[in-house]
Formats: sequence, C-alpha cells, structure tokens
Amino acid sequence: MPDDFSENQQKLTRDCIPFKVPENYFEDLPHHIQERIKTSCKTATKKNLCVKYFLYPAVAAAAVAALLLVFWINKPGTDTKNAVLSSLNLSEKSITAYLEEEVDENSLIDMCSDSVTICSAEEIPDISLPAYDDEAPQSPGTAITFDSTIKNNDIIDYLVSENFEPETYQ
Amino acid sequence: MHLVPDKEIMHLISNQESRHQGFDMLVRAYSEKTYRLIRRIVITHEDSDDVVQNVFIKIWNNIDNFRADAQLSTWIYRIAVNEALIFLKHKKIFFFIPYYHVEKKLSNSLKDDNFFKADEIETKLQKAILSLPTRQRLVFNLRYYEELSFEEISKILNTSPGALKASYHFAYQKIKKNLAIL
Repeated sequence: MPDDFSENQQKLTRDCIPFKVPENYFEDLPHHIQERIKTSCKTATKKNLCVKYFLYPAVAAAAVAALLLVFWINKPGTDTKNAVLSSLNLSEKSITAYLEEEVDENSLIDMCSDSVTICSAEEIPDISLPAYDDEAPQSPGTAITFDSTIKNNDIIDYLVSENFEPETYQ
Repeated sequence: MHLVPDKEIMHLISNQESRHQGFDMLVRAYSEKTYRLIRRIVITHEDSDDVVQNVFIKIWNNIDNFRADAQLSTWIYRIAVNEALIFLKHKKIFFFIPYYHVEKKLSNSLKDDNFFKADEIETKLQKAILSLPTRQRLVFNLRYYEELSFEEISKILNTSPGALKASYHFAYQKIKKNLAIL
C-alpha cells in the first residue's frame, strides 16, 4: 500500500493553514473580549441583586420545608424503610446476597489486557511514522516499532481515556 | 506573536491598577494560537469565535486561580480544549446529533465554511483528520500541528504520555488508511 500520508506530507507543511479568518480579526479580538467582560460584569451585578432579593428567601423557604418533611418522615411510629422494602416485595436474603456480591476488578483488568494483546508487535506491519521522541523532530521516514514505546498499560490508559469527559477546571 | 514574557503579563494582572492592561497583553499574546487550536476542533469560524471569546472570559474570571508554578500556555490550552469539547457536546445535544455523526457533520461544514481555503490535498487531509473520534483528533492536532510534546499534552488533557502515544499511533494509522480511501 502506498504511504499516501507520507507522500502528501512532502507537499504539506504544518504552517499551511487552510482555516482563514476575517480581515483584522486578531487585531479586533482583544477589544471584543474587553467589551464582553464589561457587559458580563454589569449582568453579574444585576444577577447579584436578584439573588439577594429573590433567591435567598426562596432557598430559605425550601430548607424549612425540607426540614419539616424530614421531621414528619422520622416521627415515632413511622417505619419508612420497612414500608419501602415491603412495598418492593424483596426478601431480606436476596438483598443481603446483592449487597455481598463483589466485582472482581483484577479479572476485568486481565480481560482488558488480553484483548489488547491482539495488537502484538508481530502483527503490526513495519510502517513509517513520525518519531515519538519529544526531542527528535518528526520526519516521515522515521520508523518506530510498536512494542518498544507503547506498553500494555499505555493501551489500557488509552482505552480508559477514550471515555474522556471534559472536566470543569478551577 | 508573543513578545511580552508571561511573568511580566502576570505581574501586570496581579496589580488592580494595571489588571486590564495586563489582560489585554495576555489576549494579544495567546489569542491567535488559542484560536487555531479551537478552530481545528470546532471547524467553523463563527463557532471558533464564540468559543475563543468564552475562553478568555473564563480566563479573566479565573485568573486568580492560576498557580504561578504552572505554565501559562498549558493552563490556557487546557481551558481552550475544555471549552471546545463542551461546545461540541452541547452542539450534539442541541442538534440531536448521534455521537458518531458529529465528525461527519463537521466534515460537511468544511465545504460550507467561507473561511476554509484549501487545495485538494489539504482538504483530503482535513477530512481524514475529521474522520477520527474527537479525542484522537485532538491528540493528533496538538502533536502534529501545535508540535507539543506528549508531556505537555498530558498536562493539558490530564492523560498519561503513554496513553497519548497510543492514541497518536492509532490516529496516524487511521489517517493513512482514510487518505487511501478518500
């Protein structure tokens, strides 16, 4: 199979940017951002007033209502937990069995490791890739062997990280 | 263009009197790189413009949380990547796009984007990159176009360098395969 990517790489450079912007976009951007910051500050002040006059009393009322509900549920003579369990029609034995059930994490990890060994070094064809070495510059002709740089643990990390969810940051 | 050292920018921002001036310098120093990174994730200029403005507003609101021992560029890229991914996630929910179709939709939007100017080979490459899952595409862009080391990318994405190497390897293989098909 011809190495199209490597061939195309000769014609493409990383500096070739197909994504264009309107004229003077980057010169005007700081001004637009400062404008939005000023606007958001004004909105935040209005929001604070709303919080002070409407949200705080509402939260206080909700808290009192929640306290009253908890007090009513736990008052003597009301056995809520038993009522719920009996309504579910579950035997105590089956609940205990469910709670004692354990997931064997080691066997799960082993299963993952087994599945990734499909990509063993022998099965990966020798193909040109940019070097993974951070110090060395990437060049299309630099070959890399799969097993020398990527360990099974890396693959497991990779598979786990594929379920990546954007985090909130502080 | 990045002429003013980060330390000087942060020193100006830390003083209430020069806060706005320092932030203006920060935006001028990092807006272009941040925009390019976001543009490669969300593709269209209009969306990138929204996201990049949100990023710098978040930076303004959280600048006091920035730890002096961390690298400013890494912190900014981390926020940019998060914002861009959150934007894509909202787009999927808002337009009821199935998870596996979002990249296809982005690929189609390339030809409708007035600010995308590329020859045949470049378009082919961009479409091949867009055929990758979001996270692989992100790793590929950060490594290939931004030329960041796996160590730096690991700080931005909070993933081990080994996992990133694997991700980059699979991304590279898929691009090669897709270039042959396209």
